[in-house]
Amino acid sequence: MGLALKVEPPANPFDEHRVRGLVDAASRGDAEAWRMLVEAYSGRLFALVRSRCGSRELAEEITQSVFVTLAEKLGTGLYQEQGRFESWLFRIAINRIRDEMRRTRRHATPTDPVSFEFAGPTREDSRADPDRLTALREAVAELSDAEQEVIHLRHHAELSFKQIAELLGEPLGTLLARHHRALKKLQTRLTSATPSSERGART
Amino acid sequence: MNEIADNMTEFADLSRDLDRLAEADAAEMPPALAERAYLASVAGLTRSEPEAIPFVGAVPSARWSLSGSRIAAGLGLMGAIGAVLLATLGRPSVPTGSVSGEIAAAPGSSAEDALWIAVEDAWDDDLWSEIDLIYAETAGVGDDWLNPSDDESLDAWLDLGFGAGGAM
Repeated sequence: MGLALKVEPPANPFDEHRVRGLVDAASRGDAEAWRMLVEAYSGRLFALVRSRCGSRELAEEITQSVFVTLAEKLGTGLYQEQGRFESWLFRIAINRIRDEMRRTRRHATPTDPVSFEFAGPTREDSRADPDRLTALREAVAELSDAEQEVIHLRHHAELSFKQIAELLGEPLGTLLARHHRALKKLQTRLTSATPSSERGART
Repeated sequence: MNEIADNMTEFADLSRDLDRLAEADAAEMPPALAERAYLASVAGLTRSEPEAIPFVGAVPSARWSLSGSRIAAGLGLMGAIGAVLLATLGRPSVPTGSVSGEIAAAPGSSAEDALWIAVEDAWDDDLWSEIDLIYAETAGVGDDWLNPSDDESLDAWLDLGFGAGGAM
């Protein structure tokens, strides 16, 4: 069995050098460079927000607003974090998500993640077992907020642990330990929820 | 390191499934979202150097970008005696589509007159209330942001000349 838990960041169609070039060009008002950045990051951004908020509509809204914020800062020279564009982008998203969660709690709207949509993928994915994914989504929703956050930043935003540490302002070791603890909890919950016959078939 | 390697093996299936869950979430993104996000944000990107939009005789001409809770659109407004509004609207709560309308601006109308009439023509109150932020640039008038729910922003907007004689 191969090692599936990635330590290095996943393959990015844009390497750091290219991203820096695009960000610089976008900062100078190059709309085409900006379009490429939006297209490159919108999927990961949407996936992160979708996973954190549970609502597709809200995810669309937040994704869009993050790019608006980003463009404002780039256009007015407020981008100061050279070389850390991804961390910066996803930090804006995380802050926006936290704001939204606070707002939602203030309005006493049910935020029980289990009540969110568990419709599973809307596009057929032959590799994924929909029941397994549904169970996994439910199990993730039962993790603590901090554990969910690191799982989502890792797998949905596809950030490296180093980037997550920068983004959250926490020590790398703390995040690795939290991620490990979260995986362990997920493993336990999924195993206890899976009939033994199916467990045998997966190994 | 050995512990990490053990963990990798231990959680290999789980890690793969989490990646698939992420793929499933990403797959829910509407294809038009990236374009909408681009349109909503590009005005902010180029704000420091707004593109000149020429007036051609009495033809009203202006460019707008809207960013809102459920809507983003880049609008182009052009026309001769009648100004034509072409707006591509995308709202998650309704099928994405396009709205177009024709307004009869009087010859010599200002760009802002035409814009506001067009806005009134194209959008109902419900939709208007969902718009959070507008950026507009109009030759001869200037450019600014408007937050429709912010009175101060609205006053500044009106001072700038937008909305005069229009729908507000």
